[in-house]
Amino acid sequence: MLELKLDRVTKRFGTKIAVDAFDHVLSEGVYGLLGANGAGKTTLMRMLCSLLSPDGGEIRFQGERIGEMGARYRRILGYLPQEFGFYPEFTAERYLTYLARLKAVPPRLLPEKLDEIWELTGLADVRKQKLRSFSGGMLRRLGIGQAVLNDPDVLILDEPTSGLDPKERIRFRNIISSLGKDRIVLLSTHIVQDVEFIADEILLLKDGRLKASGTPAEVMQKARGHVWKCLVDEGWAGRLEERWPVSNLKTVGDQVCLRIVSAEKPVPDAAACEPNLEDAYLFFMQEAENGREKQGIAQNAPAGRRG
Amino acid sequence: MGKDERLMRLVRQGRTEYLEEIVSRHYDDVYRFCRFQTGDPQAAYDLAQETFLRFIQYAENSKDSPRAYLLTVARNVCRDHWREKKRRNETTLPDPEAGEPFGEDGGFLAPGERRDTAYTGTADAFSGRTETRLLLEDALLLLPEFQREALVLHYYYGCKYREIGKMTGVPAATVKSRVRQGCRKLRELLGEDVL
Amino acid sequence: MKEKKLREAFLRAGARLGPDPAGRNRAIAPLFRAAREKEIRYDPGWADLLRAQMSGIPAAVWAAQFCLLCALPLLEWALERYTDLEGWQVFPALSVCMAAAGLLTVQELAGHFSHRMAELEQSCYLNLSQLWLLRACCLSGTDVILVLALSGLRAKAHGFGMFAFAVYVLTPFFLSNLIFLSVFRNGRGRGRAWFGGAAFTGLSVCAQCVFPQIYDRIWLPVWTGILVLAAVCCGMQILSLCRRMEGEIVCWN
Repeated sequence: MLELKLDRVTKRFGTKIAVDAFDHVLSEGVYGLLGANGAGKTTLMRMLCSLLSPDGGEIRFQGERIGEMGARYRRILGYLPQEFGFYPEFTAERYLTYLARLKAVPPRLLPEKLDEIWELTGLADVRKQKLRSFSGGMLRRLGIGQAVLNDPDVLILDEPTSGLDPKERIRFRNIISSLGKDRIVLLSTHIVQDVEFIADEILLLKDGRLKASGTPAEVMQKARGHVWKCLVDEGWAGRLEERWPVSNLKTVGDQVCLRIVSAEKPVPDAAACEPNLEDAYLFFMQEAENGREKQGIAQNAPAGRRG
Repeated sequence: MGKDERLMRLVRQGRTEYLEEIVSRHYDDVYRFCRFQTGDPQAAYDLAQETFLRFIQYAENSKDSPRAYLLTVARNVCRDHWREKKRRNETTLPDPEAGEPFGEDGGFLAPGERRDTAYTGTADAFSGRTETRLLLEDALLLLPEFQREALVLHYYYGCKYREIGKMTGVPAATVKSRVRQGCRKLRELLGEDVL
Repeated sequence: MKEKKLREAFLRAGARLGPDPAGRNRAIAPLFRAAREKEIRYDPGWADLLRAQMSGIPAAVWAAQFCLLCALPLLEWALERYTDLEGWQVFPALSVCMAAAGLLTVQELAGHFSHRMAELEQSCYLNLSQLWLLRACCLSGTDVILVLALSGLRAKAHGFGMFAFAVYVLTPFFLSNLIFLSVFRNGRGRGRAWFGGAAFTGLSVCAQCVFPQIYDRIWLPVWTGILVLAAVCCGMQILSLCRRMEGEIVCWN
């Protein structure tokens, strides 16, 4: 049983709080870290890779602080950074061999390991090609290949699907879900569909805070009763869009079918509908925003008028 | 090089059979630590087991002596156990009676500290015992967890402040003051004549 | 006294809290099983790490390094044999060779910061700063060893002591490294760092040609001082780059 525990993890850059008292326990399975760009996903992941040390709180793997474990932690860690680097003059094979050495993969196991990775990533045919000739999708697949070279217990993938075409994305999802069986896999994305079907647990991050977590079904359940569908003409659609977050918009003849996330019924003839993960995501993000607005109002109000 | 270090070197070289010897050598120490920390034999067995399983899983990586490594892991395992228990108590037991340790002489605890102490039950844990005087191990359970672990590591296991600091992630000076405060409280509880 | 009493009280309490034999046996059995099933992960030794590092340095760099260092004795031999140059006059040429070798070394090290590999390498078992130090040692180590061998062999021929010869050749090597690293560390990029190193080499060669007196014996302590200082500063620059890697890797991505 693996356990990666984040205990009130906080990171500041100057006055900006990038990650704010993040509390969660990760065990075997795939975790989807969802959040807008700049929500603190990358900072959180870098802390989980011990590339950054938290300003407050601690991260423990199997009960030990990862900062103190040092190389012992890095040995069981697999990481695919968002900005995935490579030496363009290396061939795929040389690149993996090089990283395998840095990752202390036993040399006698390496050939077998490489075969496994070619199979996983489907790059066997291009193993002798220089990396400069690789497409974005191939490079990403190679990136995930290098991340699992050392059979990591903790696998961290930062935006692994960014810049991939839909077909590559599906392929990627299949690879990731095959990896989550006996290790902790945490992948971040701002694309909801990427994690909807493969994540055992969703973590919603907003402004460095954990807004919601749970299985996709649980997260969707929480948004129930807040998702509406309505058919309005175009002028109305614009006004509704300004007022509420719209998760889907489809033109039907000269009218527009909107899917709106809102606590109250947006228009009289709107019908409640079952939330999907995208709705739930919008719901929680919206909730966070509203909460902040309310807080702002309460702080500004004179004390005497309260209650 | 001590025997432990020799054994660990053999283990790192792939001789896993020596892990069994390390487990045998240190089981009692780890069990006792968990027992000191929890006061509950069954929990101590479980926590000691968890500690050793983690140790075995990552044995080749340990740099310290196995004893220090095991005690560090045991300490973390116990701490997690308490946190978990506290969380459960907070959600399921808002009963005001339940948390009053030794109602009659419980005044020595500051209000904020009670939740940190291990002993959150009532006095009936001691009811089976014939003598009325509080034993050291029972008194320890009335202290906050961080003081208890510092005291046990220092006095029972003979660890230096610096070593305890390394295990618990605080400066040696903090450990020293925890030990001092813990001692004072123990004396209050048990009487100057005993300690 | 009190301490002793406390310790004894704890030992007595510990004796009361031991596991009972049956429970102990029950608890230990699954642990033994886990121990028997345990597979030990591989722990690379220094030799493995060195080999890994050598393989990480592109063959072209080794080849260039090798050529430059071969050129050094050849050049020295040719100048001595076919020209009427005096002993000191071969040094500017040797300096250029050594400075080029030095620049090649640091250029290879700086390569780590390009291609965005740093973040990934930092997350590996052997992290970036260790990697860097290893490489710096491998590359400059070979250079220094070869120069020392050359000076051992050829110093006599020029009428200098072995020590003086080594100092005259190693100083430009470390100085060019230092210039490169300083420019690079201040975030000016590899191109400018290269330019800085090369410009410095050119200037120093001019200086050597214009003021041949600097090879007089009285200046040797100054040369030695500069060499030691440059070597120490290089070491410090490398260490400080390593520290920066340990700290905030984000700044450079």
